[in-house]
Amino acid sequence: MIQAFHVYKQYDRESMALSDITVHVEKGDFCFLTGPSGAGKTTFLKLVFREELPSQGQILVGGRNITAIPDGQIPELRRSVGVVFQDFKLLKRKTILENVAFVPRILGVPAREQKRRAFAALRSVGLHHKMHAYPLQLSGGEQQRVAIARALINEPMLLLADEPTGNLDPDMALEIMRLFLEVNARGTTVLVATHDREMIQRMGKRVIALERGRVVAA
Amino acid sequence: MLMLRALAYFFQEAITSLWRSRLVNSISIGTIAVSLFVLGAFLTVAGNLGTVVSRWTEKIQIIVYLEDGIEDRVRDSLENRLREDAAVESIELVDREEALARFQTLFRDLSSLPEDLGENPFPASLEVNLKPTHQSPGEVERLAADFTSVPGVQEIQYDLLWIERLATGVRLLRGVGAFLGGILVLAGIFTISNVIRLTVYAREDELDIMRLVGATRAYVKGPFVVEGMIQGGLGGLVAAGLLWLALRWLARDLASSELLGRTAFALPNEITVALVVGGMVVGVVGSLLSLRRVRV
Ligand SMILES: Nc1ncnc2c1ncn2[C@@H]1O[C@H](COP(=O)(O)OP(=O)(O)OP(=O)(O)O)[C@@H](O)[C@H]1O
Ligand SMILES: [Mg+2]
Repeated sequence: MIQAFHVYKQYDRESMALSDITVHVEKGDFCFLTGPSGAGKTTFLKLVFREELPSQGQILVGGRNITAIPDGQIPELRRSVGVVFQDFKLLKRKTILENVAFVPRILGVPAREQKRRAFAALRSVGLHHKMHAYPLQLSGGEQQRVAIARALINEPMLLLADEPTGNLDPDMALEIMRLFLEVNARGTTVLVATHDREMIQRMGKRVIALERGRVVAA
Repeated sequence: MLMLRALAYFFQEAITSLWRSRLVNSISIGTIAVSLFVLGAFLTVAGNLGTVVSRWTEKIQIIVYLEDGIEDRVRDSLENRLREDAAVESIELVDREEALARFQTLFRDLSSLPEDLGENPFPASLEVNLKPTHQSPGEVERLAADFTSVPGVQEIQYDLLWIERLATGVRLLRGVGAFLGGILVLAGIFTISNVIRLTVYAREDELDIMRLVGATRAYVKGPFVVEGMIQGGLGGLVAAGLLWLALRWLARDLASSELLGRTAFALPNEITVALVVGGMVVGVVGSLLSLRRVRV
């Protein structure tokens, strides 16, 4: 599903965010991406859904070389990838139901169907009773779950989650992991960036470890 | 269907956003309205004056005064030569008695003048009407030059100069209007583009999020373009309304002038449509300018 070949990413002259990354994540895998703060986890995820371009190297997602696709095809790529952002990225001026419904909305799904799917997605993260609240009226953990609901609503082929349990209590974190496993069982490839060692151990899945922009264990 | 849904979404978002910052948006609508009002005013005045001028031009006449006591043979040959001229549509003979009668109906107060003078002072004349295709000042002058020395002609009169001046004036007015209007329209584009740019800055996070969940560039930009279009269209509508009021007000004061006539102060439908459509185009161009740098 993800094939990275000798990928480098340099934001500015002094430091290299990623150096010579070569990793493969198979279709249907469930995999963690870990490493200390600043190791380059978020940067790697950004390369995978083409928010950033690598300075060098190639990345294939679902068999397509996304470093070479024209701008016009980027939206299509992003629609097939669900992303839980580290900073949630919710639309402050829209209710959480509208936030989640926005994804089917840009696909042209009829309004009633948008709402139905958004409601179902919110229910899966236990927030359907707050669907008319605005993001800033929710706690950090609740906002995170809205972000998760939005990432899952289209049943993406690939789910990228950046610290999806960072703001959650252990019970809720487990609940979310169970949700990811369920999605994974339905065929979605899952890549979770986290530094929660305990969680990683408990799940017993494959781990890709980064340190200062290099892969130290895969 | 997808298209329609996208459009519905653009309009919803645009209207919400217009309402949210209604103060700033009213200012930009006002700017557009003023620019288009000035442009529309010039177009209307120039258009109306143009109609008046061409109505007058239709009546271009050349009057050939005949020598006193002209022989019928000479007059007939003069008439024939005139009729054969390519520019001439028709000629009419006005003899001395008729000239006097016309004078007396036009100026009742002076109707006793001939008796006071003891004779009829009016010469006979031939009124020459030109074919529509030949009603240019050049043609009139050519005809006059050709016939001044023909036997039997005392004098040739034509009063073209002021019509020509008026026509030049209308052309000038149109030029100034187009120039001024052009500048004002640019100002309108600039205003809308800056107002939209402010909105874009204020909503940059939102735009980012939309891109990142897979909205196409067109989908991200759509609401802003529609917002600009609505602003411009409303500006055009306000301009047309103001123009209509201004013309009504003018008409009340000037309608009595027979020379101009009532029709001279109507607001043509084409101008209303042009203002609204023009405003929309201005709005779309303005917002596209401010959205140039939105990336994928
Ligand atoms: N937009 C940017 N411009 C410049 N430098 C950046 C940018 N984004 C990240 N970096 C740098 O790249 C390096 C890797 O950052 P990244 O966000 O990928 O780390 P991370 O592993 O996600 O860390 P954390 O666990 O704290 O989220 C850091 O040194 C960071 O300063
Ligand atoms: Mg990070």
